[in-house]
Amino acid sequence: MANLSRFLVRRLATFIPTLIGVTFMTFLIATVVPGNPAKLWAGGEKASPEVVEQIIREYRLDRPLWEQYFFFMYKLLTNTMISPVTSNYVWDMIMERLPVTIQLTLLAFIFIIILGIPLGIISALKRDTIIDAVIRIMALVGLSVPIFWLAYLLIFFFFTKYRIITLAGTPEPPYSITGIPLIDSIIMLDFGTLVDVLKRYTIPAFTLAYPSIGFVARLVRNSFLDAMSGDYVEFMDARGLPPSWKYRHILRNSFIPVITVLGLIFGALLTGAPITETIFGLPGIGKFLLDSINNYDYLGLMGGVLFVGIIYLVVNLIVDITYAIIDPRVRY
Amino acid sequence: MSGDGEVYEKKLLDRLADALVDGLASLIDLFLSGWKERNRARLDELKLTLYALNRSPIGLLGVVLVLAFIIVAILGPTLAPLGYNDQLIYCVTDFDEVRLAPPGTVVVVEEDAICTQLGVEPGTYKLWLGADEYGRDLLSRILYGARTSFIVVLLVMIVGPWIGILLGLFAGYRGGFVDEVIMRIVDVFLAFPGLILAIALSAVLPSRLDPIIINNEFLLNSLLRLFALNPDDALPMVRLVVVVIALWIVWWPVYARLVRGMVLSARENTYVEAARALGIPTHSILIGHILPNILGPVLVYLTLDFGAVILVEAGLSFLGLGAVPPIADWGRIIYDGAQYFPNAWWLVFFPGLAILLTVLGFNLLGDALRDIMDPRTRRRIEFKVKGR
Repeated sequence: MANLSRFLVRRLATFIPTLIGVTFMTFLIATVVPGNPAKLWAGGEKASPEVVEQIIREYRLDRPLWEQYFFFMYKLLTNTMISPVTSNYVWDMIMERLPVTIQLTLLAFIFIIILGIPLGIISALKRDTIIDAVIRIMALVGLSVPIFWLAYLLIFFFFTKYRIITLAGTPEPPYSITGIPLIDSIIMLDFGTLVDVLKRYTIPAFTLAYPSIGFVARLVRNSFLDAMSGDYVEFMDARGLPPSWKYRHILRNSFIPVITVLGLIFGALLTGAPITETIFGLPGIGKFLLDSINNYDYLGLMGGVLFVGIIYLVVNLIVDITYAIIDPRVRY
Repeated sequence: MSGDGEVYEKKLLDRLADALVDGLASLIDLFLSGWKERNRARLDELKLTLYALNRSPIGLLGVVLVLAFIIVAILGPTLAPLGYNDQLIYCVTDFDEVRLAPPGTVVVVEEDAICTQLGVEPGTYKLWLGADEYGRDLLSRILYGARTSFIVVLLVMIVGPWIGILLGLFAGYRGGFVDEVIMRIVDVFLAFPGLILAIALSAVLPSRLDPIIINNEFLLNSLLRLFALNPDDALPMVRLVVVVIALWIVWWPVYARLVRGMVLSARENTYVEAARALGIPTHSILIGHILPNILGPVLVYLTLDFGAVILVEAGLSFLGLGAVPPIADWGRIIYDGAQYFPNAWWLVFFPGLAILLTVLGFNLLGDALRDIMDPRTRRRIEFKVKGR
């Protein structure tokens, strides 16, 4: 265990500088690079100089960069930063978008697990057969398909042709427990709302999941084959242990890398899906970033990018630690 | 494997591969005499890789798709029946005839039509894949789009990954403080999902970069020629250049991390020790000795990333952050055509298919190369290739 705690300390020691680096880069992207946006925020060329002056003073745009940096980060992290474009608190705007992203993430993740893992195992068990070849090629197609194209094909089929799904609004039940309609409606056994949520989110979630399904299937296949070629499998065969016993061990061993990758995919999904959300008109985190860009709301953009960076970083940290705990071979 | 005594069961493609490698090697030999002899082992390995590729149906399909893409990208603008911005609505009296015309529509451009003054040659055109809302031929735009994609991906890949590779080489070889600093910077960049970083950068970079690029006459003219664009479209093209620069920033960190890891194990090899003992300077140990030995796996990543860059670039254009009208760009054609979906389905379907086939080509090729380069399976392939 001494090794493990040393690993944890080391991992945390690199986490903090990276986190600071992320805040710094976010600041760089959103405020230094675009130049002085005060005039834009005040309403363009016709803005009165007094208003521009006031905005510059309020957001300390005339102060040195390091002072701006601390000012922006402090305001963002304490949720006192008000976007000059929307006049809302930046952090509140992001939190408002979170339920949509979480529902997309959960449904997409379900697709990845219930399709990716079985397909990978089938592919490995039927190695070098037609089935294996088809699954492998489908996986590569999944990695190559532009999801905006896939999205339109699915819209054509499920909306234009058969009207199975809806493309407008976001279902909001009258009650709120977790704030996420998908989970709330299950808890309250409110199947009407649940069906509405599924009608709205299933196809976007599938679109979003599609590339990862193929990726996970490939990974499961390869790590399953790796695990099957281990010496312990031969040993179990030699001892005449039943296949179910054998496969339990193979599964356990082959799933360590899979769990890691699934964790990373989950983290990536949580950071929003700009393309999918745009096509299906879902107001999630990805759409928030694009909306901020289109409104020249660089503070919104900064908040969004910072949020995404932190989420991604924390998920990575959790995945690394989990990996170190579940795989006793890893010692740093 | 000196080649002479071995009995390969050589197929036609293998002979082609031999000819290709030998030809290229001789060409380099002309400039650097003795190069071919010094790199004999490496050339034989390269031939082996190509033989193995010839025996992988997946890899061959990838090669075919990639070659098709490259050929279309080079010849596309010449082959295209119409220009990428030839608006046929000005050629006919009733413009509903060509506005969003479905695939297969035939358009006759008369001698005295207004559009002949805009550069459209009179004649009869068949719009094989239909037309967009300005009556522009979709087939021509897709052919020009191949050029756009190709140049963008080429410009990204000949700079972005190499920044990472060089930094990774340096960090891995030096170790210590330098390594720590470079890797922490890499961590910061990798803390953002690639697409999101690309989106943010292509949104904010133009305000600083546009003026610099526009004022550089030489750069502008050479890029116009590369992208096969009319001189009037220099301004819209600048946005593509910004995307290229944004993708450089997105694409270096992965390579830095990858190469650093490989250098850490490669630097323990005897050949590195020998080179150091001979007093060979660090930079030539890195470039001349370590890099060629780790290039195999890097090549696999580069191949796969050609596809990934094309996808991300199309995605950015689809979001309105990449190519701007009237430039023909696959992602942008879908973005503009989507508002007429599903009635004018061809505007979404065909450019998407072009992206899919191109990216699939690179992925198939990369996947096959990964199998071939994998040291665990490479020797097996070697035996298979020898026909034993």
